[in-house]
Amino acid sequence: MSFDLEKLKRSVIDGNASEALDLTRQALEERVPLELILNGGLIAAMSEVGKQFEAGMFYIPEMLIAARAMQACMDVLKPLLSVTDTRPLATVVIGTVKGDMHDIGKNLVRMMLAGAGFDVVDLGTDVTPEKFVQAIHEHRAKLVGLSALLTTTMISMGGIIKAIEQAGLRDQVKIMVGGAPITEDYARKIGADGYASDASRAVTVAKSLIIAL
Amino acid sequence: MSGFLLEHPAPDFDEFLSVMRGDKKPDRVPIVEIGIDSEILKNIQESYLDEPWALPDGVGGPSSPDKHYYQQLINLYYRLGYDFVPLWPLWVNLPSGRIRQAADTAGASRGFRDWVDESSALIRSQEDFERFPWDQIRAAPETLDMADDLVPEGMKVTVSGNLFENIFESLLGYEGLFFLLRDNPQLVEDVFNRWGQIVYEYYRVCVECDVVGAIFHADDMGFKTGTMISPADLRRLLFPWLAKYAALAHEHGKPFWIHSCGNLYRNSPSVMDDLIDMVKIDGFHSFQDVIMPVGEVKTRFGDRIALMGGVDMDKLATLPESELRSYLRGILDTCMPAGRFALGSGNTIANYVPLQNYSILLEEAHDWKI
Repeated sequence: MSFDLEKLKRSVIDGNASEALDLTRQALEERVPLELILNGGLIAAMSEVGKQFEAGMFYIPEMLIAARAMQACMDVLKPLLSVTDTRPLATVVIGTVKGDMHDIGKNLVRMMLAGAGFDVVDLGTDVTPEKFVQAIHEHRAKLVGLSALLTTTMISMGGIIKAIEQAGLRDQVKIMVGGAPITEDYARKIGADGYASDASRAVTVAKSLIIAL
Repeated sequence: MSGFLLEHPAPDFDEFLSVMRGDKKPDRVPIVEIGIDSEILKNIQESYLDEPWALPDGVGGPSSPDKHYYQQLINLYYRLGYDFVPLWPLWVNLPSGRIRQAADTAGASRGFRDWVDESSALIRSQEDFERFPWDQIRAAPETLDMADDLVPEGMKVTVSGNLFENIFESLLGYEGLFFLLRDNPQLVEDVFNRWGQIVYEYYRVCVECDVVGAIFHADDMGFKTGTMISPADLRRLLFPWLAKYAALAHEHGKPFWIHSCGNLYRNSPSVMDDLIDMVKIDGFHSFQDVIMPVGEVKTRFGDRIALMGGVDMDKLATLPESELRSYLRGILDTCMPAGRFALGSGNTIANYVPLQNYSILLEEAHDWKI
């Protein structure tokens, strides 16, 4: 039986990890190009998941289940991808800002960015400006994502952007922000390059920002 | 301009209810909060009433029934001009989820702010469910007895439990709930039903007390752009319980109000439509301008339910005085004339709301002319 790309895509969208894994292995046995499995199958599936989420048809559980299915396939593909020329779209450093421990929103952004082909460095929560700067430098990041849940913690986003400027890294990166109290206006006010209202839109914003680099 | 604390408060919960039901137009601006952080209460207590706050620094609420605390709490709400005091259950034998801490960045900092560990869960399997001490969990009844002794004439208390929120913050955890909805939906249903019943039993005791004026249930369901789980799952798992709580309140002649953060307005029928039509809520609390300003909610739903709160937290915490006053007056001008509205924060008076801004909210409410 020949490999069915649409079926792989559908199994990821449906969160059927075992079927997705079987189909990925089948594709590899049939020597389907890695790029096709990745871009035409897995990343395309997560793009569809994002669209469904934005349309209000998928919710957090559906996103997580799909991301889990994709991750299972990626675990098989990764060792093979590393010996090819396949590169991520860009390296993104993300984190929840100092004083803020809200994880789930940032984790969803991480999953969706990884699902879209970004290499994501997740600094976790309660992240200091210094740690952001260090990570950008160490990983040669092109994108930075800042997350905050509360009005009282989002204030530190401006400080992080200043710290990146002072480290001489501002021209190297594009900075996007998100979280419950964050607005487009606030993003503009603090000098961020982009704002995303949820994890799926974060992918759209990220892609548009790397084009601008 | 009137003062921050009232010298001669005249709470009238029955009047508040009449206005919220739309039975009469208000002759003053009703105010409401589902919670005021301990740091704010302590500040008011010690700065304006010249008496030490009942709780130690950094402690948000009592761990056991404490009459001195309730005396101060009720007196503060009374002097601030509220018609009711929101009370939360003191759960006995309820295991708590794992907490993480970070430095509290609020102006009235408590040192460290507790955060739910979103990856932790008390129940991950059917075995965990069977072992959980469900039968030992109860709410301390002394709280209501104390309230009954302490509440001034005309004033009542409301009672607030969590169902969905306790499940995703503690019992199953955020990630646990989200994955289990696919991996073990029966376990999810069992947890909703078991915890739902415990909350029902709590409310059943409460509604029989005269001092309890309403059930003011609190369950955050969403975030900026939608609900955490699908409306279909909410209808299947949560709303039947909320409907039971509402029916219980109504059987005792009391209203059922609900607090929920998040975007409940997408699609048609929306989750808000479900709350009104299926659950039969009488009032709704919690508004965020980035989702939908209260004025717009008033236009869409204000003829069907009471709206309570409305002041966006970010604006309440950060606007300078003149802009804040203008913003508050705008809300009052939009929402007060038709009635069925009470002014308050869109969430709680959190410790990152400057006391001055909170006092401006109260002043604008006290001074606004119908």
